[in-house]
Amino acid sequence: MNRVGQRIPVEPLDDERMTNIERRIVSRAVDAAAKPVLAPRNNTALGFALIGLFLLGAGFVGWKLRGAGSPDTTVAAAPLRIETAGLRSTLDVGDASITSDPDTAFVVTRPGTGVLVELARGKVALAVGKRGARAPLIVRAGNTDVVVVGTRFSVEYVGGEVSVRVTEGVVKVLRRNHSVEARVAAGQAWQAPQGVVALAALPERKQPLDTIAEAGDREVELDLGAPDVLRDRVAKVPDARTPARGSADGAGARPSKADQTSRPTLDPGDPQGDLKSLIRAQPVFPALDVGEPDALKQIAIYQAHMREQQGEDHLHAFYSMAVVQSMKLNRSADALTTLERFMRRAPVSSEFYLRALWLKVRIHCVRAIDEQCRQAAEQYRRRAGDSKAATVAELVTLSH
Amino acid sequence: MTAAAYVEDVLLVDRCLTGEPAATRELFRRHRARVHASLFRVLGTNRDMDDLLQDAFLQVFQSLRGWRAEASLSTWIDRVAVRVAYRYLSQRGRRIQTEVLETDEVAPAAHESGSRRQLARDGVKRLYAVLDQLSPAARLAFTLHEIDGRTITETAKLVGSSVTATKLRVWRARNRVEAAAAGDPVLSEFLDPASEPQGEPVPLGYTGEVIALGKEAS
Repeated sequence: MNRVGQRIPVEPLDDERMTNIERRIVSRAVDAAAKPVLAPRNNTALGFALIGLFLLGAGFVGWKLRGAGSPDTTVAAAPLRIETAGLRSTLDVGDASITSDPDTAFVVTRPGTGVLVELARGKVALAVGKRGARAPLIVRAGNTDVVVVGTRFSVEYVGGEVSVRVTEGVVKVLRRNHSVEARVAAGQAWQAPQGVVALAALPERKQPLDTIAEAGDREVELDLGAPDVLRDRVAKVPDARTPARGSADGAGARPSKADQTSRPTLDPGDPQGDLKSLIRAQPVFPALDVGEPDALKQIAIYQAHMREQQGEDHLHAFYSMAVVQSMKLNRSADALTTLERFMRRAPVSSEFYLRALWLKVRIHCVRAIDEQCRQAAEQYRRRAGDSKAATVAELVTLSH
Repeated sequence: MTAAAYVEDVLLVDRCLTGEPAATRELFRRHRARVHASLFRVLGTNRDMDDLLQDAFLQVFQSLRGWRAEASLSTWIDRVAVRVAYRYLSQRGRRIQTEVLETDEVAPAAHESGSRRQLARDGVKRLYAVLDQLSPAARLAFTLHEIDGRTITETAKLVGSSVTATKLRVWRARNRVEAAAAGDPVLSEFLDPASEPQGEPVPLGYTGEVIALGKEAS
């Protein structure tokens, strides 16, 4: 029955029908979009905040402010232009805090429910609260756009080069004119001469962005050497862990809490320790629970299952062999062989196929972030869709 | 999805949310062909398509604030359209009148001979007559996967079901169609799996189907 669709060409609607549909839709959609405008309140609040900051006089010397617009207009029609001279300064726009270095110039507008920060020169560091249903905040620098939902990061635009530095959370990076998507973890940097788009998918901020001092006191270093930042992040990064410590998930139980939440010590000598920790933090789908604690006996039971069972049960048993070989017996080579055989035979559409791909990523990459690891990560990333593990796989593919 | 396309979507949605008519029109024009094609393949006819397309896009614009920019805009719009189709199928009952196909609504490729054209028309009509017997969920899963060409995973996401449940629905629907074709030479000729290129089988692992793994693994 394959390709039946090719035998059923779509009969198009004639132009008149489509035009009528369009007219009705546009008319009703525009009516539905009419809503009380919040922007004037934000604009007023912003104005008071700026005046207050100016009167306080701390950190605002040298600002030039133009183009406030009338109170009756939406903020989108009233760009806020900021140029800093000799001091670092911070602007709180309500749902984002923008700290700018000296000799920085940028313009803030609010198209719709979004925020657009156009950076003409210099460096800005942003702390953006969770956007919720609102449109993202966009930082535009030259021909580069950084689109964010909520994160802490900096953008520097100097000499035509744009650098994006993430200090909290994970930022998703989309390369303009490429099909590659990647996510950059906190402590890492992304630099490209053109075409970087990043957005963050983060848990909600625990604290509101309401204190200028908080933003102003935080140091955001533009240091493209990632290890420098990693040095300061021991407390937040899960500790590195060698596979020999093992885990409790081979017996078919869920991955133990220790396995999932442990904070092994970060090895300062391993520049990829952060990435490996991220990999380890992703759960591995557990092996089939056959009520047998002994790993070798488990494998024998799985082999019997495979002979007797079909379908998903068969696949689960096959996959479970690889899990036990890797996680309990620490026999990575055997596990990889099992996975290769599994993936040669399992349907690509099976969920266990994807789980096997992840297990392969874990086995390779915990050992070393090398070419085999990256290939495995790329295989997984292509099939995984949108998930945390896919995010980590993307990071792996971009590591070097 | 490229970065430029993504940013374009974000900015277009921004403009739509401000009620800008040009932006609303632009969004509709970008996505109408794809949405129409999917709905057509689900229903097999353009009857009621005006209302359906209108409902789908009105729902899109009413829910546009819910687009969190983490899934592509086109995927999100497709999901909304599928929900509208489901509601339509449920409210109209299982039987969608397909007799309008008698009036050349389905236009086979121009290079086909008259007899093949007639065969195609009859075949489509009979296929959709079988699909009329399915539940809305089964019909959606089958048409999105088998006719609209979506993968199982994409189909599952669009209909909001698990991959396993979607596979099961597609498999059962396929069995229904093949059973009908066994007793209907016109439908069988239209489906004609013998003339299809031998592609990868679609092992679902359910009763009666053996996955290629078989008993070779040890």
